[in-house]
Amino acid sequence: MLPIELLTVQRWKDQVRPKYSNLNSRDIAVAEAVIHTYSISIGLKRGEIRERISDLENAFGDYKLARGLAALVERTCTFNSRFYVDPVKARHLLFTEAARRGFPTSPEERLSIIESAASILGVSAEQVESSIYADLDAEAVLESCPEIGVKDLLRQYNLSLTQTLLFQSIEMEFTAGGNWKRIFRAVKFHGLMYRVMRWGGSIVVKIDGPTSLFKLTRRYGTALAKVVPEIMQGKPWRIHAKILRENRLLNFTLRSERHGWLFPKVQASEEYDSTVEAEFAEQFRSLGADWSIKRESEPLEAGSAIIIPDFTFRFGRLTVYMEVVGFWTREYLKRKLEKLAEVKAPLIVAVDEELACDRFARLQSSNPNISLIYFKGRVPVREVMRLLQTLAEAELKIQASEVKPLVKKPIATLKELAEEHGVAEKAIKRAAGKVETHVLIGEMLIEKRLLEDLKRTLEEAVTAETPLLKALEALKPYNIPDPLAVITSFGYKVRWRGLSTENATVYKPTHTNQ
Amino acid sequence: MFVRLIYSKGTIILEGDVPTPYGQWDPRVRAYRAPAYCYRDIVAYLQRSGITFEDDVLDPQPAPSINGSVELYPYQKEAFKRWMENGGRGVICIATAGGKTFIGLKAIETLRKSAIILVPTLALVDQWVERLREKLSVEAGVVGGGKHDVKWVTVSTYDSAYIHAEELGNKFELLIADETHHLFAPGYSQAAEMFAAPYRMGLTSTLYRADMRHMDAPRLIGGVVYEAGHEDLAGRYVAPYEHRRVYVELTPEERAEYDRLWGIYTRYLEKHGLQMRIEEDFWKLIIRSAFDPEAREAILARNRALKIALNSEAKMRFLAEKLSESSEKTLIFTLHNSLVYAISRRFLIPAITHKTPEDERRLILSKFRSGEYRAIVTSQVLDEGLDVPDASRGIILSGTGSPRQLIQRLGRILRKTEGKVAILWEVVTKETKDVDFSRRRRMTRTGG
Repeated sequence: MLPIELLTVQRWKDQVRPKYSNLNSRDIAVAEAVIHTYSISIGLKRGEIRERISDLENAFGDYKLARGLAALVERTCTFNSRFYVDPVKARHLLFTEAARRGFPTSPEERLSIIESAASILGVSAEQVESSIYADLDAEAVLESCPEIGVKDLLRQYNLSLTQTLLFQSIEMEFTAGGNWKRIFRAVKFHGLMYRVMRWGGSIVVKIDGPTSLFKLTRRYGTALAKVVPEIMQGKPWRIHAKILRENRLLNFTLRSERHGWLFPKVQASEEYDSTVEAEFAEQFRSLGADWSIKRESEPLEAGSAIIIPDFTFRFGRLTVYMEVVGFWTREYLKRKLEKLAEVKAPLIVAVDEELACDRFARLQSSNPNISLIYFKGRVPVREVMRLLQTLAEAELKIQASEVKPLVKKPIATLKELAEEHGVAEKAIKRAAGKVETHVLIGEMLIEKRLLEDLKRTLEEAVTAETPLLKALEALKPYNIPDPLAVITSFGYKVRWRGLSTENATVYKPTHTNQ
Repeated sequence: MFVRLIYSKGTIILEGDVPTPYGQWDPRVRAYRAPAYCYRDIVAYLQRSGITFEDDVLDPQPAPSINGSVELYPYQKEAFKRWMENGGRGVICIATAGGKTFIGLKAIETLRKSAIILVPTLALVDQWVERLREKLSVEAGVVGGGKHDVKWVTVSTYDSAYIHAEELGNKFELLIADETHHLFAPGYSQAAEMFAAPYRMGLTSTLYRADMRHMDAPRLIGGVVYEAGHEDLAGRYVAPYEHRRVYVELTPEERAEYDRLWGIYTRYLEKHGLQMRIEEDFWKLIIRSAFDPEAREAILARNRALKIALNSEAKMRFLAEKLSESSEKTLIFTLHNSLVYAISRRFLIPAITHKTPEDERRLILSKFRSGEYRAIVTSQVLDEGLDVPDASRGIILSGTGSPRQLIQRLGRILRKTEGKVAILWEVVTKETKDVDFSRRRRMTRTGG
């Protein structure tokens, strides 16, 4: 964030955007000069360094860029006051003496007062002179200045310009591809309010403040600016703000795909902010379930508010969320229950046993989307899995009954069909019986007519006990993803010798139980 | 029908499905919401309409015991009486040095309501805290200058009150806005809207603002209930005074440099057909400077020229002359801090700016009071409200074109003591922009 007078903007129609540095060679030269100026100014006074910077400003013509960069660099530097005698004490001595003798109107009179103070303090007149106002900000001396990358500085500058423009914003809309928890934590921490809307397939959040209801106010501009870095951590993001400038309402839009490169690189943020959650995800994956697990989720609407569950589970087109309720204050719990009551997506609520109470039980009976699990210490992975499997089972039934796979290709895998219909593979498997033209073989649906061909081909190839390779060779022209499944489906058996197909043979048992 | 009023971040939420003439439906919380300053009106409305309601708005800190009593001069008594008769709302305009603080203290003593006092500077925060301790034995809390301590009576800067309005808005029943004209700055006026305090008192010497925002007073704090200028009080309640304007010349070198720099500026204006009539014209020039290096050069030249006129050597000589002439206690005013420190170093005079630490400022003022220090040089921090003990001479070396500033600076030397006649010198550099500033200072008669 920079002082508002260092902001320059581009305006076209009703659009506004800060004049960003596009990291071109001129800007890089300015940034290098600014960084260099500080690095060679160790031991100089802040005021002196600022004068050097103002020389730069004039040299490069763009004083706002140079001054803005300098402000950012200065913030990372350490300054300290240096003096020989306590400035307050020195001043007091000098002022008292001057008042007693009469104010000095010649250099000689002045020097004699300074000398008298110097002798009291036991230092030289020059030392007194240099200490008089050494405690002023502009007199502080540069002690150290950390190394900064030129492009990092320019990107930081761009972020600061964005935030400075947002000081003048009256509201902001955004969407993000992740990092929701931290974004909303920032929204609440800065006293903002939000509304959640759907726009196309994505969630759009509009944030402003309590008194925004009554009038356009820039009161929350600073708070809105502070949320931006969090939003930028959740790519892909989009930000749209209304800016009130010179009594005009302007639009300010940024999108990560187009503008992301202008801003500081996303810090590698940890996927899990608690080890308990990381552990849970790992255990869950080790069970090798059909379900995928993802930390966090996009916001779920809960009445006029939102909740961001801790986990998202996906199985085909089925998505189930889980919220872990650990130790919280009464007020928080009350609010949480109110929200949970209005959730309209399948949500597992894992509640610490110590918090178990009637209200949770009532919640389950009043909101059919909620499944409750109590836990002690850690969230039981197996129990969650059982619950998910039940949900999956129910969902499968529904999917299977809804789907009537329309199979066009002679051979189609379940996987292909599941993707095509947006359901689980298992649902396709169950619905396979409804397909009149095809037969389910292994994980494939094969056309009945083709199956006759295959049967004949195999009968010709496999007369006695034949090498497997020969049988496979015969089927090769049909391009079957899993030819072995076809072979065994006709009642052939494979005699394995070792692990490779090389020595395996195929034969037809004389007595089959088919 | 049942309504519950709750305070929420500078607003009042009306729970219960009862619309009132105040506020509007907020879909974010599914309830009616009104700005906090409507609190008094909402309560009155609900009572008149016979609607039962639960009031959970105000949440003041526990009250301490108040000891002592504030004695008022007759005109102060009159002002306070009128404010009370107006239902505990309104602005009192009394000339600087007219003891406005005491009327505020009287309000706290009489109403015994939790109170927040808003002031423009940290120096004034200090002063109010001291007065509250001295006159009412109340230990006040402070919000501002790095402190955040909310008590039954709290003194805060306008700035901090603006920043923390959400949190402070329901802690007080009485809001006193010292130097009230500040309250109408856009940000601060919104802070005033975020306070629920039903009782409100404005204290100022001059309510008038060039931007006319003081017209908002009736809504935010109440209209003017009492007015008295220096002329009304001079001799009886404040010291009689003389105002002398002194014109000085630039040295030949200064004159040459001034003309050269001023020339750069005016030629730029002519070249681009620009005219500088009002402040906004100058802002336009600043905006131009962002993309036009020549405009920036013109501004820099103008600023350097002004610095020469405002800080001219002749002014320094005048100052030296006055300082050696007599040892009467003197306040020296400048426009910029840089000159304050230059004078402080050159004449070894204590300086007070907004950067001066609290302890040192207090030390300087107390030594000035005791006579150990005979002069103080200051920029704008002493312009307002701060009591400067019995100075009888003021020297204005430079200032803005604001009439308010002149009146306030005059007020700093008007504290009445027996037989005192205050003198205010205004030193102006001939044939420079300085003359213009000085003329503008005198243009408007102030007041409500």
